[in-house]
Amino acid sequence: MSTPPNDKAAASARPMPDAGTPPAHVDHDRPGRPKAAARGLWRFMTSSMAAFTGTTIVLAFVVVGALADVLVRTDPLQVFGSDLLHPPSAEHWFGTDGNGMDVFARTIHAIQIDLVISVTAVAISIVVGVALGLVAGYRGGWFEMVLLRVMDVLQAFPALILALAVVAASQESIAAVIFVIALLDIPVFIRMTRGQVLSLRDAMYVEAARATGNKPWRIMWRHIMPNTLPPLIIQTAVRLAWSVMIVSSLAFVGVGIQVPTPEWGAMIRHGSAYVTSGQWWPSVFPGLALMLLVLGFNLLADAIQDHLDPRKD
Amino acid sequence: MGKGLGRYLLYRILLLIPLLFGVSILTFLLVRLGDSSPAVMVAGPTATLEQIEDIEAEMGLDRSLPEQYWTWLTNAAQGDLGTSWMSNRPVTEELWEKLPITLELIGFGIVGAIIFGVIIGIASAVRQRGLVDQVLRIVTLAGVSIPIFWGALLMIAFFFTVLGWAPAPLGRVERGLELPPHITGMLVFDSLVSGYYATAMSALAHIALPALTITLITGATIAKQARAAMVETLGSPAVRYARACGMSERGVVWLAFRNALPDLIGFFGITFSLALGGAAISELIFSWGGLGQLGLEAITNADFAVVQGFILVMGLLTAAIYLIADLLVAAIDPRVKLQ
Repeated sequence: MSTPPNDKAAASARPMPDAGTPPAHVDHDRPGRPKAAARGLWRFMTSSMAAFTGTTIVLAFVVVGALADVLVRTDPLQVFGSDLLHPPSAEHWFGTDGNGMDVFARTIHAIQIDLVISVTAVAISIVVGVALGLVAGYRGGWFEMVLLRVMDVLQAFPALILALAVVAASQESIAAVIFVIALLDIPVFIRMTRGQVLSLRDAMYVEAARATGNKPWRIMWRHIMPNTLPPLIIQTAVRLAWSVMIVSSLAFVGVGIQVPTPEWGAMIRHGSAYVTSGQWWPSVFPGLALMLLVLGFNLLADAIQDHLDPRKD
Repeated sequence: MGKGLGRYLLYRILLLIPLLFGVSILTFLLVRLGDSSPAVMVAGPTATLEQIEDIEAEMGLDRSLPEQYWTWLTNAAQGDLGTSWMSNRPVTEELWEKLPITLELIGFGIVGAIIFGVIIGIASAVRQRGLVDQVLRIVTLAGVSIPIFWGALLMIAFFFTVLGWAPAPLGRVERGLELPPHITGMLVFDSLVSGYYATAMSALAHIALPALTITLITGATIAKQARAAMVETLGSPAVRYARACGMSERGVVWLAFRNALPDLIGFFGITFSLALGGAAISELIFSWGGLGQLGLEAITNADFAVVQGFILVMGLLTAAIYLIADLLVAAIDPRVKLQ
């Protein structure tokens, strides 16, 4: 028995769109976008104390770091020959270090190098990690197997020690530091994205997207990836905090960035020799800046988590 | 559980083999990635190119990488990890000697961190959103954000330079004191057992600052996790039901803690592996002379054999901790079954 064709319904139904047709109401370059983004940022900032403090700290570091040359006229490499280890004064706000360089100028100029390295490294690891995680989660199979085993090896021993070994072995210091931090961050993003994909892969809407003939890449990118964003944003803040910490830890041990380049870890290393004789300022001030920036990122991570998941706490 | 436990242990140990294999290949390649060659360092700054090449040949560095790795692997399988060019001693012997020194420091630090972290975490979670919680949250977040090497320097600046309470950060014990016979290699333990009380007191005074640094900074991480886990279980239906039945507040907290414990033990494992790196750096600051200092100095001096051995031991330690954590969780959590 055949069902009678419902000609009326078939005629009135909209024709099936071709696979890959973009949704009708996406207007990418609306002029109101930046305004909406600013409003969103403001709403986030005022949502909690942590959000406000975290955003303020990070924004302050970004602005001061970008404008360091304008804001602080003292050259971070200038040696004030007669003023070795001069305590904080009106002339040198944070005092001078063992080479007679101005600690304040060095601390401020170090923001650039620490931020640029961390942001670059985390950006690389997000791109690589999310891409690999999407494929591993969606495709599975041997690719996923191999990838996960490699990640096991990478995460099997303390990250800091692996980083030290890599950077010490190579001569290109800044590139090596970026490379190794990205390498250590990639597993985090792979595991996170893969986990998200596994829980979404069989969702009804993904099935629908597949049924209408979307290519796997398109499904991964347009349908699954956007839903992995919230945890990704939280993890980005966490990893930025961690990366800043690793950059300076490496320099502190004496691999990677070296004195006289203004970098917090290197400065703390250089100043550590004078701590026991009471000259605390060459190592305390850069450490304070380092801690403040890491704290800023950590606050942001906590606040974003609360903001996206108000149920918790 | 007897037979199942044996089989599970065997399975985990077998799983370790490919992992350590991977770790060793990775480190082998990584330390040889760059241009820094130990031969150049051994030969000194005035050496000619020929002398350097001679030394390279002697150390086996002129052979191909797979050949070098194969030699290393076959030797390592027999317990020979090569010779350090810095001290000219077998790596295995050096690692074995330094291991207890580091374990003692980490032991004190981590045990302190767990006690401190769990207490703070519970106190914070019980008074969720109250004043105590707010203050503790800020303090823990600040603690999490302090790099351990800077924290160690602050401790020295405060407790040694300003207050003069702590001894100088130069090793494990006052110079000139009689050392106890070697039993475990852990100085505090050895001198207490052998009755060297003056040495024990001095060793305790020396371990206080580095251990306290690890305790405070690692403890902050644990406190953060403990708070989150406790908030979760305190709000769980089981705990709410117990409270509704009229269980005392102390009983409720204990129940919530019991339920959070499996998660917490998992966290302890992860935190411990993080603390290994931090502990290595604090060893450097306090001239502790343990595994961490040995490894970090080997890294900056391109002492390949020591670096390889050091990273291998670190990998083994991490794996052992994860295994212990998993076994503990299986022992206390009836929902978890070893497979």
